[in-house]
Amino acid sequence: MASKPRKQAKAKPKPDRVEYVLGKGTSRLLEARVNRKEIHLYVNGPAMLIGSARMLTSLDIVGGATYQGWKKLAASLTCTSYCGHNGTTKIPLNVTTSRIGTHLEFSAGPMSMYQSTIVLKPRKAVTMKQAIDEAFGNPRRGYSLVIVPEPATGHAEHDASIFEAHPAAEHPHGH
Amino acid sequence: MAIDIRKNAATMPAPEFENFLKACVLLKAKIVPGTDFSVYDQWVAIHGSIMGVKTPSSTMFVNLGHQNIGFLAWHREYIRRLELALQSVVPGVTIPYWPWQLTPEPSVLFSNARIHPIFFSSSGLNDVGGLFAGGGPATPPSWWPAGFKWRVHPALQVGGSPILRRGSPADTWPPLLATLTGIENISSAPPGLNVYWPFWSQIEAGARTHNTGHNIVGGYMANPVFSPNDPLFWLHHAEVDRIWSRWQAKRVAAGATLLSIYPAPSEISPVNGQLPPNGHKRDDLMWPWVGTAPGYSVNSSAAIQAMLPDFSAGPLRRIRDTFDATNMGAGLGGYQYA
Repeated sequence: MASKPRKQAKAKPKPDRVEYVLGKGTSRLLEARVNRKEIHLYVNGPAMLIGSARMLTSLDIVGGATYQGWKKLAASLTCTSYCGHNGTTKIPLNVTTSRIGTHLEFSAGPMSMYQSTIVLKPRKAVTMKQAIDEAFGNPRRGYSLVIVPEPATGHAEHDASIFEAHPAAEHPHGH
Repeated sequence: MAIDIRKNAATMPAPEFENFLKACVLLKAKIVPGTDFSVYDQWVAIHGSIMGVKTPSSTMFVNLGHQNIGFLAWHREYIRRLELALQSVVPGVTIPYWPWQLTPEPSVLFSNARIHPIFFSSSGLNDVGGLFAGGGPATPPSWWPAGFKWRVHPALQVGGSPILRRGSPADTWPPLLATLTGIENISSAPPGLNVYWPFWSQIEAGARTHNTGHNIVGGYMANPVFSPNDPLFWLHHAEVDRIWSRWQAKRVAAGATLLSIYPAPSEISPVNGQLPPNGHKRDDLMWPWVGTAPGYSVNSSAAIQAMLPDFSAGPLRRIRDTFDATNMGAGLGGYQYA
């Protein structure tokens, strides 16, 4: 086989959005500071393969990535899962702190095996880049803010027993 | 056995498409003697059970039909066998393929007369109507089995719903034709990696391909265990299989062999550095077509396991046995796409 790496074809996103695929072997570092109004994440196996995601930045606190800045960013965005199996689910953007700093985390949404779409977007009619820059005080130097998907844990990768029929189960289609 | 021809579901003659619907209905109405489930239900049970199979060399239940490289081969075998079951009730019928780049609604394919709307980008689930309406069609065709209604068997239901439903809040569909052509044209991979890896990852779980299609239809189609309850499943997977066939043909035309465009049994996964699970590698047996080989078990419910057909007398089937769709061997004949 030819060995030259080849850029994979992707669905052409609508002009107002950027689309990323999360799954086995997909990119682990997704740029969120984009000049688009929405980020669409195709999440393969939410809560089965992909458990959550973190938002991290190359900016430091001197540059604007403060706890307060992250709080402002979390408040300025919405995060929603659209799933044919589970319906529409609002996903909280959690501000997470540690001894070395702050970042945002969000769940990959309700469990499914096929795929769901998570949409991240600013509450105001601005681009993701504008919302992020505003939250961090419009830093003067260039920087990245990335989404880092995290694997699901706590169960076998393939355990699909959750999807089986259960006589007493509530109807799962919570639209 | 003549080569079967699978046709475009949106453009094939209406009577031929009706034959496919008729075959699904007749298979669904054909009760396995001594049981309360149908032959069609048995095929749903197989898909439900492939989600967790323990093989002789594994210590845990593994999905042998999804999330790894055996996805395409297993589903090729699975839908071909379903196609032959359909032919047992309607001779000559084949599974149409859903041309994904078609804008779903409105379209001829997703009309009441064909596979019924999928309620693209809807805010809720809607009952499927037409021939698959839970109360039966308003005006049954002449071949309709007396008193038959398309109802999901209790052991195969989601949330206690016996009625087929569709509808999804997602709007990430359809793919562009250029996207699909790009996937068909994948011809290289990073050093040391078989070209099949990038193709498989795109077609099963890429943007606007197999997984997305299940999601945007919603309802039963979006439930990985019970998706074949919705007959649209077969059209969706025929399209997956068609794209694989076209990709294979292009690679072979460029000098490859069908065997060479699947990872060798010793090739480790680029995802995790491990060998793919037993059941996904090229020479592995594909459950449930493992004859009387010992050491296989599934973790689906007892009710679902009771519905599984008995393949113990059948031939052993391996991943590599599916590579040539035009000549699958083992009495399965072959097919092509129009």
